[in-house]
Amino acid sequence: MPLPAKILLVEDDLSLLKIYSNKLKINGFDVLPATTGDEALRKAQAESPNIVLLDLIIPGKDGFVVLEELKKMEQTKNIPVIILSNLGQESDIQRGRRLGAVDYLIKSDVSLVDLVGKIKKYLPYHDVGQQ
Amino acid sequence: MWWFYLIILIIFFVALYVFIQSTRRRAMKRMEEQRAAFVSIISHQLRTPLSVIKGFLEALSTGDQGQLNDGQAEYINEALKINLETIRLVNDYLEVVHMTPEDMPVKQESFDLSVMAGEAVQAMSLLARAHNCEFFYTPSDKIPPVMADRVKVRQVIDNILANAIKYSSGRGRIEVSLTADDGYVTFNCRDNGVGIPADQQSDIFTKFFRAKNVINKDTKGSGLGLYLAKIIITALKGEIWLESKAGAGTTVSFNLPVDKK
Repeated sequence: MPLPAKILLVEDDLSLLKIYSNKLKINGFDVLPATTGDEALRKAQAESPNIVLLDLIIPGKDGFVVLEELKKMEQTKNIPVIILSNLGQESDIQRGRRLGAVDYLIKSDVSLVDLVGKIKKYLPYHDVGQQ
Repeated sequence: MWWFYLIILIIFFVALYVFIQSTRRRAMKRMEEQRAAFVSIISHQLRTPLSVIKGFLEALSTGDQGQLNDGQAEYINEALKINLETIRLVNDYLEVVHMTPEDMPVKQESFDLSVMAGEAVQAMSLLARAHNCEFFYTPSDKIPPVMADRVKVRQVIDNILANAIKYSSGRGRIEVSLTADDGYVTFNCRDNGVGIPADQQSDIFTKFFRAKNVINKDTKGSGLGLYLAKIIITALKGEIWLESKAGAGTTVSFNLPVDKK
């Protein structure tokens, strides 16, 4: 039986971390939480997640820097990264895409159900649970 | 030889004028960029708590925390609806930083502006009382329906009424009236507040503008409300204008085309 897909969830707001974690666990994902940029990089290397959900305004290294470093490291460069932020300026979206994010979602605009749908889209060959 | 000195002098003044203008333009551009960045950060700060509320409500409404009874589901959905409307409003404000009337998406629907004005006055009356202000509005059944965007026009009216309350605080009287002629319905809101100095009235509908006589007062404002109102009303083929006298009050008016069907 395949292992559940592992998601590195980088989010410094503890309420949002709780909301997203619960929803993802209910949908059969294994969630690795990280609340700072450095913790995110450490866990990305140590745990090799299948996908990264990345907030941009986080303590320490910000999301853009984390994304840049993830894409530079051999071990993590192929992990799909979805930016999940409340920064919605066109310039931020362009920058995120340019640095290699596969998608850019605005937290206030995306529903939890749509978020799960997006993640599944980028993990077509993984076990993502029954729901 | 005098003409030579005259030419040198003219060249000097032209160069000085060009230099001053370009410095001013650069300073204004810099200020605009800083304010746009500021609005972006503020919008981010507003979106975050709204996202948290939305997430919890959504998790409840989809049954992640157990099934809800009909009454609970109705309350949660109402709260979610208001939360989503507020998110939309924040998004609108963020959009407007770069928006022109040509870019503003608007709907065309027929509705009764006098009913909307009454609802807006009613909704704002609590805020008005908190500021020691009172609304005076007599609805009329002789006002024809207009053809415009219901949600956006309500946004404009709310903004005008909120300004009237804010800048009339403790002074009292805000009159709202509607008239109809020449294929347009005109909305007027007259207050007896602080007014706007004559030399600043031409800037009142520009982005981020706040009159000097209110900046130092205990009033908060983004300087985007009337700019947004102008963009919306212009996109709806109407006009918005004001008459004001410092210390005596302001009347803000806009008109919208009548629904001819």
